[in-house]
Amino acid sequence: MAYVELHAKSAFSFLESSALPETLADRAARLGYPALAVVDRDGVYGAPRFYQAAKALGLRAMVGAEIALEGGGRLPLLVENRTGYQNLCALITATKLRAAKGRAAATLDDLAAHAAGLVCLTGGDEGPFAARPPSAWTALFDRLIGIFGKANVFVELQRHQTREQEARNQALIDAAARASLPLVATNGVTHSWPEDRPLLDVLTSIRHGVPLDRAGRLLAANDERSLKSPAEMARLFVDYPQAVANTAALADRLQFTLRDLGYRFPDYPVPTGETMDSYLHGLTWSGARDRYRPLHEKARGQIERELALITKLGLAGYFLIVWDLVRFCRDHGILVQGRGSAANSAVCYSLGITAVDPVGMDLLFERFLSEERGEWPDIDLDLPSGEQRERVIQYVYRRYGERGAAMTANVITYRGRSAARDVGKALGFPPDALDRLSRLVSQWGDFQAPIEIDRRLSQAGLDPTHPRVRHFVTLWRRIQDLPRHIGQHSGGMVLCQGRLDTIVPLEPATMPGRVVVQWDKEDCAELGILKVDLLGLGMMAVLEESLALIRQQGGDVDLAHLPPDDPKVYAALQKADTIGVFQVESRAQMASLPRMKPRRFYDLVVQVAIIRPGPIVGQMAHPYFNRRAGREPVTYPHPSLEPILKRTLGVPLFQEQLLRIAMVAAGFSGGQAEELRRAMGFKRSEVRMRELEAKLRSGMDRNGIVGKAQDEIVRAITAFALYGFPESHAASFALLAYASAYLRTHHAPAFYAALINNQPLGFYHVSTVVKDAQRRGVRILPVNVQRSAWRCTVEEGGVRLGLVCVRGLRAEIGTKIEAERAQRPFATIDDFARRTHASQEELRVLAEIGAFNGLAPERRAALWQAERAARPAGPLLDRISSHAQASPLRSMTAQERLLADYRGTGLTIGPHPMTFCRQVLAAQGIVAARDLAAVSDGSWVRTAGMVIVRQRPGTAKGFFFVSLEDETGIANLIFTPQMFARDRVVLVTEPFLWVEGVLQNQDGVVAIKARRVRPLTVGHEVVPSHDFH
Amino acid sequence: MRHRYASLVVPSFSAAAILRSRPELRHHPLAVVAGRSPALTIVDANASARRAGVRPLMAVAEAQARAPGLTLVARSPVCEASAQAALLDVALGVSPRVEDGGAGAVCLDATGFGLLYRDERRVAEDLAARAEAAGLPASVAIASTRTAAQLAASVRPLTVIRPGGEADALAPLPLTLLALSDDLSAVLTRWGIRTLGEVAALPDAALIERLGVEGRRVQRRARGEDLGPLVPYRPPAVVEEAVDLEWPIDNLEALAFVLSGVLDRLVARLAGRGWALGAVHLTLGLADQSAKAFPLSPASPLTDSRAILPLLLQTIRSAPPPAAIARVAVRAEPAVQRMAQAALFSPSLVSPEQLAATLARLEALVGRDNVGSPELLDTHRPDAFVTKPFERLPSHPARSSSPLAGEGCGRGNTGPVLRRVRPPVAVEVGTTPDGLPTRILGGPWQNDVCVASGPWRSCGEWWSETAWSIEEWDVETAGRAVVRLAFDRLTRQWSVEGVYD
Repeated sequence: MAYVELHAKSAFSFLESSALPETLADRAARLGYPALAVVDRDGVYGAPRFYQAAKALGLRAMVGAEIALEGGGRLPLLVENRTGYQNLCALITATKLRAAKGRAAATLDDLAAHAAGLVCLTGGDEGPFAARPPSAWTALFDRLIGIFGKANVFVELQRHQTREQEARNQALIDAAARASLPLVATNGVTHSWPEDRPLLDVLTSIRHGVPLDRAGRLLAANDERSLKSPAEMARLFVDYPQAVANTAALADRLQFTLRDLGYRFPDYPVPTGETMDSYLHGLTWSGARDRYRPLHEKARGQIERELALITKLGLAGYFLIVWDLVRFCRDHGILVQGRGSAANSAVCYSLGITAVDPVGMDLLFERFLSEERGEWPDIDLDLPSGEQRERVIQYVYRRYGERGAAMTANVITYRGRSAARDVGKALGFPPDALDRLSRLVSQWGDFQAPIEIDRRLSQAGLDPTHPRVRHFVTLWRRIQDLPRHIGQHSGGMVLCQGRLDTIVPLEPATMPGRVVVQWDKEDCAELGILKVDLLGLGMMAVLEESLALIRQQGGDVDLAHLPPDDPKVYAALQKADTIGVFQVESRAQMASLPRMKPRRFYDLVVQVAIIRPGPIVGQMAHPYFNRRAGREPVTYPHPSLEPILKRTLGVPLFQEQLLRIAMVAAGFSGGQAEELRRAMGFKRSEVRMRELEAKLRSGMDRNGIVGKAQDEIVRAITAFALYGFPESHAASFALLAYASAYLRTHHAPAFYAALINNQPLGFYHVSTVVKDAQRRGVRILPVNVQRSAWRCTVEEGGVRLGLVCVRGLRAEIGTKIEAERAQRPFATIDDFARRTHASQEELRVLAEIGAFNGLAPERRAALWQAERAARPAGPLLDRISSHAQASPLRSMTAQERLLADYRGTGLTIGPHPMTFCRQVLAAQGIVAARDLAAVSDGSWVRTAGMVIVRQRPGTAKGFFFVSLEDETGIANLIFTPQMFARDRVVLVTEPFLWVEGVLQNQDGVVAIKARRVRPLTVGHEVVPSHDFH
Repeated sequence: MRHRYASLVVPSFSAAAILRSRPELRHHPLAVVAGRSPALTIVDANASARRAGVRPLMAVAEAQARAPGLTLVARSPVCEASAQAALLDVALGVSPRVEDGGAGAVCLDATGFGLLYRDERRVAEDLAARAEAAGLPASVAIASTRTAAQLAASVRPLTVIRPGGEADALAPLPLTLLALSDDLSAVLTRWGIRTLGEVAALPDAALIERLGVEGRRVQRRARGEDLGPLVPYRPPAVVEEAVDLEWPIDNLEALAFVLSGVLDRLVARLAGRGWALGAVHLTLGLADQSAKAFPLSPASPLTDSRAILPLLLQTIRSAPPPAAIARVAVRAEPAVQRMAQAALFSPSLVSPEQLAATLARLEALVGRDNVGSPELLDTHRPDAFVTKPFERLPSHPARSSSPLAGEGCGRGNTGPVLRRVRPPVAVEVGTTPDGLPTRILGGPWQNDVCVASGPWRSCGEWWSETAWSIEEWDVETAGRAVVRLAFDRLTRQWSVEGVYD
C-alpha cells in the first residue's frame, strides 16, 4: 500500500532531530518514497537543503512546519500551494517577531488569519492534543475545522509502540469518528535510521542541559521514530488501512515545492522614459568613460559583452540596486569597495562598485557571471566596520521596507571542539576530561584511522576501550555538521520586491532593529534570492578616518587616485616594515615579503594570495619564490597553459587560473568551469567530482593533452580548487593593502591615530602598534584630560592619544570631558570630577595613567587628589581646600609608570619594558632585535624580549612561532613541535622570554630556530600579547 | 596586668587540613583545587608543591607542568572544619579564653603565662609543639594585641613582640596580610603602598577623607591595634560518652550491659538540658585498632534509653564488627523533645518509639535498602523504582495528602490493575515467525495464548552497562489469565512480569 511520510523533522528542528535534510532525502529515496514532507519546528530552516537534495534524487520535497501554539503543543501544518506557503511564512514571521527569541507561539486567531492553502495534522507526542486533556479535544477539533475547513484537518496517528501513545490514539480515533475527520498515519520521524537514536538522545540531552544519566523520560522511549518503509508502516497500521491510504492521497494534493517560491527581486525605479536596461547602460558607459581614460577598445568590448549578458539574464535591476547602495555611500562620505568576484566585472568597475580594472588585469568575467549557472551574481561590498556599515544597513531597510529586506542567517553547526564539549557533557564526562577531549579533537582534524585515535586518546589520559569513550568517538563523528542554532550572518542581506516574509520566514536577530531570514546565504543563492553582502572591514574604517584626519590638518588624499608604484611604499614593503598594513602585516607575511620584494601592484596581489593555507599546504609558495629569485626555471604542465600561468611563473595561485585551465585544456565553458570549482568546494560531492573529472579528461583528450600532462593538470586542479584564492578578491585586498601602506608611509600620524582608534584590528596588539609608530619617528602624546579628544587625533605632527584608549572610561564621560573643556579648561581634579561626573574608578584610572598631568604634579599626587575628589564632602565643606596638603605618597618610579600605563591603557608611550634590563642583558650577550639582521646565517645567538604574538597555525605541522618585541624591533622565533611539547608552559604563559638558538638569515628574512628557552624576569606583570595557539 | 595574646596560624591551611587526615602525602607535592573545570583552580598547595612553583589561583595544567607528580585533592570543608576544631582544642588546652580566628587561625589569652613559663618564647614553642602533635604545623606569635599576634604569626614561625613594639614589628610586613577588599587593595596598590608600615604612616584625617571608615580600620590593624574585644569561643553542645573496656568483649549480651550504662549517662546529660536524643553515632573501637561506626537516626527524638538500646543492638546484630570490642563511644546530637497532645476523637497512633523499633527490626531482617517507601525513577525502563527511607514522623499528624483521598480519585483509571511479579519469572514462550507469542511454556501461567497485544517497546541507557531493550506483550491465556510478558532483546529471554487482576 502506498504510504508517504508527511511528518519528518530534520536536524533543522535544532536538537530535536538527528537527520540532516540530505540524509532524510537519501533514505526516503532508497525506501521508494515518491515524496516526503519535512516539518520542522517553527520554521522552514531546512527546506532549501531538503529541496535541493530531493530534487537531485527525483523526490518531491513537500513543505511544512510545526507551529507552537499558545496553551501548549505544536500543530503540524502542510503546504498545499503557493498561497499556503506564503501564509505559513507570514504566520511564522508574525509569531516570531512579536515574541522573545525561542518563545514564539501562535494563537488560534493567528492560524485563522493564515489558514488558506494549508493542511493541518493533529500532531503526535509533541502535538496540541497530547498537551491537552481529552475533555478539551472536542472544542479544539471544532476550532481547527472552523479555521482550516473539514477537508484540511487530518487526525494524525503515530505508533511508536508505547502504551500511552496507543491509548491516546484510540481516544483520537473515537474523536475523529465523532467529528467525521479522516485519519492519517505518520511516524513523527526524528531520525533517518533506527541506529541514529543514540545521537538523538544526545541532542535531547544537550537541549535540556542535563547529562544522559539524568535525562530520564526526556529521552526517546525507543528507536521507533526513524523513517520506516511504506511496507513497515502499512504493517503497523494494518488495522487502519485508510490512515495509510490517506497519506498518499494527501501527498497528491500537496504539490507545492520551493521551485514555486514566487520570488521576485526588487525593481529599481528609473527615470521616465528609461527602462532598467537602458538606465544601466547609460550609467555604465558614463562611468566607463570616467574610469578608462581613454575608453579603449578592449574595455569597450568587454563592457558590451557584459551588458549584453546582463540584459539577456534580466539582471539590470540587480546592478542598479548595488550601484544605488554605492551611490548612497559616496553621497554620505562612507568608503565602499566591492570585493569578491564582482571585481571581475568591467561593468562593476565602471559603475564604481569595484576599484580594480578587470580588463587591465585580464580577470575572468565568467568567475562572476555566467549564463549556464542561472544564479545571481555575488557582489560583496566592504564598508567601514561599526556605525558607518550600520547606516548602510538601515538605508537598505528604509529603501526596501521592513518586510522587504533582512539579514541572512548563519547556521552554526557542530564542529570539532563544540561537538566534543557537548557530546562529552551529555555522556557525563567530568570537566577535566571534557577539557582534555576538546583539546584533543581540535588536533584531530578529519578523523584518522581508529588506531591513531586510540593512541591519541591514551595520550590524553583517556581509556580508549571504555564504553563511554567509544560512544564519544562514534557520536562525535556523527554530530559533525549538524546544525546547533542559527545566528545572523555578519553582512549578508536579502531583498525582495514586496514582502520578503511571504518568501521565507523572518525572525528577530539578537541585535535590536534587525530581522533575519531562516536561510543562510547559500540557501538563498540556491533559490535565486537576491543577496548583497555588506561586510564590515576594520581597515576601511581606518582608511576613512585617516582621510578625515588628513583633511583636518589641511591635507587631501584621494584613495582612488593614489600615486601608483610609490617607491617609498614598496621600499617599506620589501623590508617587511608593515605593522598595521592591511593583509601583509602577519608574521608569515613579513617572513615572505623580503623574498617577494614587491615592486609593483601585481606583486602585492600575489603577496596577498600566496600566504594562505591553500598555496602553503599545496606547496605553491616555495616554487613561486624560487622561480621569482631565479633559483629554478619557469615551467608549465602543458604549453597551452603558458598564457594562463605566465604571470604567476607557471605556479597556479588563483582560482581564476583553475577555471581558465579547465576552459583551455578541456574546452569547458565559463559556466562549466565555475561549476567545477563549486563541486570541489566545501560541500564536495564524490559522485559529482568523478563526473566532472571524467568530463575534464575527455575534454583534454579531445585537445590532445594526454598522459602525464593530463594527470598533472587534473591533480593540480583537484588539489588546488578547494583553497585557491580568487585573483579578483586578492586584487581588491591588494588595493586596500596598498592604500594602507601608502597612508602609513606618507601620512603616518593620521594613519596611526586611526589605527589605534579602530582597535582591536589586525594582527598586533595596540601596544605593538604604538611602539612601531615610535620606532618610525612618530611622536605619540599621552592621554591628557586638558588635551585629548575622545578619539586619537593628530596634534603637532604627532598622535595625541584619545580618551578612548583609557580602559573602563565610558564614552559618554569622554564626550562630556570634551564638551566641558570646550567651555573652559579644568582648574583642578576636584573641578574635573564635579563637571564631568566621572566615576571613582574612572578618576583613579585617569590619575594613574597621568591624564591629570598639569592638574597635579605627578601621577601619585593625582591619585591622592582623585581619591578625595571622588568622595565629595558635601557643600558645607566644599570651600575648605585640602589641595595645599601635599601628597604623602611617594612618586611613581619609571617601572611603576610603565605598569600603570599597561594597566590603564594597554600600551605605553614611555620606554619599552626591555629598556630597563638592556644593560644586564647586553652583558649576557643578548642581541637586540634590530641587530639580529647583522648576524650571519647559521650563527648561534641569544635574544630576549616581550612576547607579542604566539602562533601555532594548523598548516605548520606542530611548529610554534613566537614574536618577541624589544625597544629596537621584533624578533621572530621558531620552535619545533618537540620543543613546544617540552617547554609548553613557559612558551604559552611567560610574558618575557630568553631564547638561544641558530639564526636563519636568508633573503633578508631573519628568524631564530630556538634550542633553549626560559622565562625572563624583568620585574613586570603580564603585558598583553596576541595569542593564536 | 598588661594583656598578652598568643596566636596560632597554620600556613596553607586547606592543604594542612588534608594532610592531617592523609599524612602519607606530606612529603609529596600536593595542591588543593576548587571550582569546576574549565575554571578549576589551585586554591592551596603544600610546601613541597610551593617549592616547585605552584601557587594559588594557578591553572591546574600549569601547576602540573611545574610540579610533575603533583597530587590534586579537592578542597574539603569537612577536613578543614575538623582541623579547625583540633586547633581550637589545642588552644583550649592551655587557656579558657580562646577566639576562633577562622580558617587555620586561633588566638588565645596568654596573660600571666609568664608566671608558668620562664619566658614567652617557651610559651610559643609549647603551643607550636601542641599544634604539631595535633597534626597541624602552626606558626605562633605572642603580642599585646590579638591583631599584632595574628599578623606576625602569618609570616614567621615563632615571634614574641615586646609590649608596645607592635607597630614597629609589623611595619615591614606585606600589605597582603590584611586580606583587604579588592577595591581597597587596588587603591592602596595604586598608591604604591606595599607594607603595613606605609599604611600606618598615612595621615589619619586625610586617609579617612579618602577611604572612609574602612580605611581607618585598615590603618589601625596595620598598626597592630585590636578593633574589638576578644570574642570567646564556645565549644559545641554535642554530647559524647565513651568508655574504654578493660577486656575486649565479643558477645552482644556483655556489650548490651556496657552500652546500657553509657546510654543512661548520655540521656541523663541531655535531659538535664531539656533535650532529647536525636541522631546517635555509636563507634566501637576494636581490638585490631580499627573502629566500626553505627549511625542511627530514630524516626523521632527519644528520651528513654531503654528504647534506644534495642535499636542499637539490632543495628549491630545486622552487621557485627569483625573483631572484639575494646572501646565504646556514643556521640549524640541533641534534639527537641517531641511534644504531642492526645486527640479526643481520633484514633491514637502507634508510639514513635514502637514504630522506630519495628522499622529497625525490619531493616535488620531484609536489609536497609529494602525498607522505606517506593519512588519511581525517571526512566522509561519498566518497573524502575528505588526505596527511600521513611521520613521522620511529623510532630503533629497531618491530614492525609494521598491522592486516594482526593476528589475524583480513580476516575478514568478503570482498566485492569497490574500485579507485578518481582522478580520476574523466566518462562519459555512459543512464538510465530513474526515474534507474536502463541504459548507460555512453564510456570503457573503455562497455557496457549489466545489474545496478544503488543509489542510495547522500550530501550535505553545504551551508553552504560545498564542498557536495556525490552518488548512487552499483554496476553490472555486459554486459562483466562491476563499476563504481561516481557522479551529481553539483549539476553533473548522471556519472562512474566505481572498479572492483570
